[in-house]
Amino acid sequence: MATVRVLLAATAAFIGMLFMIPVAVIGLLFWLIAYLTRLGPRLFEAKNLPSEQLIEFAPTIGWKPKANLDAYYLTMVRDGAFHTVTDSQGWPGRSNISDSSVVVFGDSYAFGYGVDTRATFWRCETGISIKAIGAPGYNMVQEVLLMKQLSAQLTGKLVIWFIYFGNDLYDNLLPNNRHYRTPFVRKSSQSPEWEITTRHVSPLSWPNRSDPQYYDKLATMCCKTFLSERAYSACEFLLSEAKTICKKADAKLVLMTIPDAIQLTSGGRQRLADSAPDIHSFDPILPDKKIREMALKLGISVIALENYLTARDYKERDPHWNKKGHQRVAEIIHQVWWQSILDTNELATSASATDALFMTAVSSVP
Amino acid sequence: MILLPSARPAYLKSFSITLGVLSGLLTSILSYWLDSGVLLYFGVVLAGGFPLLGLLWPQIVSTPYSYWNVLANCFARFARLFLMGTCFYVILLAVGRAGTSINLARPRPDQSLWLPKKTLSPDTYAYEFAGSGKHFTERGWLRSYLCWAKASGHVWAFFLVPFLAMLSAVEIYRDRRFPAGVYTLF
Repeated sequence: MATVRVLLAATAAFIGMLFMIPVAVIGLLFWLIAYLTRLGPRLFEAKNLPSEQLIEFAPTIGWKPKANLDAYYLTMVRDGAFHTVTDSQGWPGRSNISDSSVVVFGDSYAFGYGVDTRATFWRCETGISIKAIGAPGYNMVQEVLLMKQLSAQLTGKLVIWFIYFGNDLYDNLLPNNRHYRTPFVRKSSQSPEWEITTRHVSPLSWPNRSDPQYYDKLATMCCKTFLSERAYSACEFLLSEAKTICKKADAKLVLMTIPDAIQLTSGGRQRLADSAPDIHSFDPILPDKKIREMALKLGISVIALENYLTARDYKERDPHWNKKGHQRVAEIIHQVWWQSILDTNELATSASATDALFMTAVSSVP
Repeated sequence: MILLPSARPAYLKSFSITLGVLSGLLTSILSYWLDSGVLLYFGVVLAGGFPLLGLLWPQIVSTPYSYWNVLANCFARFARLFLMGTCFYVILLAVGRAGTSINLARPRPDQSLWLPKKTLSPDTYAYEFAGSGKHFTERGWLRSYLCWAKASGHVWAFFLVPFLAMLSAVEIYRDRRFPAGVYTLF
């Protein structure tokens, strides 16, 4: 019976193969096109470094970009590869702090994530030299720690601090960013004051990698909730720390708040409202209002980029600025720098000029 | 294998070049076959136009790129159905005509269907099932399949191999995980 089966199967397979010829030919065409298309990155992209080769563990702050990078990295899959350059300390660009008039602290926005190095705000031709200190994923706690570490080099500089509403306010309270351990702020049981915690920071992977769902958290930050009140309180503590560091270093601190693109369109604001835990207290510009309140209290100037940027300054597929956005931010920084020079030279008449710019920036905030 | 990767500029460029070259080649062959000069000009336009468009404005190619993927998906679905249909209605049906070794008759009232099995040494208890899961690994599925066919007396199953190979070629795997190496910290 087995032999009969084999003979029958052989004959049937032969007939079946004849049926399959057209399918195989068409399939071959699809396969050939897919195969040749997959060769594209070899022809049109420089070799990309995987993310783990771009950053390294840094004690206290968690991670930083590797030093002397001149490499390409992939961002969101559809966006492709982008060029990045870092200095001997791992910070973006080749210039150093001592040669720069402006030092910008921040996260991926300061790093220039999602555009080539030549298109970043710190490389745009504005006539001033800008040094960016930042890396993707940083929270405000890491930035304060960096300000402290680099305070000796900040003397006489204009220090601009980027605060991105998309995740910074919430991340300040978390001990991790995905599997990376981050310094964070907490209130200990012994004291009602906030404190920066770095004891858990190590190269070890953090066990909890749950998705933080940042848009939901941003919606929460736009409402008066327990979490948002806690986040703003932590933020105020960090602002006061930064103010103290800059004052000691004789540097002028200016905050620059970065809205998420979702906050800049009516559709986006509606999406946020839909996710809001308390619709009655929902206000899409609450983060800006809160930062303004804190800044006024602490005597820090603040520029709300919400008044300068539109959704067109952002990339389509991720929340970062495109080339146009970087150019626009470079112009604003240039303007702030000029105003700070005017302040220093006491050319402003009554109110300080930076404060005048600040007032312009926030005047449209109801 | 036949699906295009997620569109990014480099892929869009290579896709436009591939499509340009292949369509140019196809229309040139057709024009030679049909002796049509118009088709030849059309082929030249396609061969030059597609790559030029893709290299200069890759985003424009993203629409044909996604349509091509839809087409590839439809083809894969049809091909899988056709392959499985051929396997069943042509090969398995033919093999089935030779009879079956499985006893399909209703058992007698006093007949036991228990099969005798020798006892195993207690030392092997821990490994009794561990070994059985290793037969079909993703890499060596062909070898494992052939071993199984030979060991179980189903040598006829060897003839299913070309069909199974084609089935695996048109299988669409959608890996929803974020690709490795992407710098994702925001």
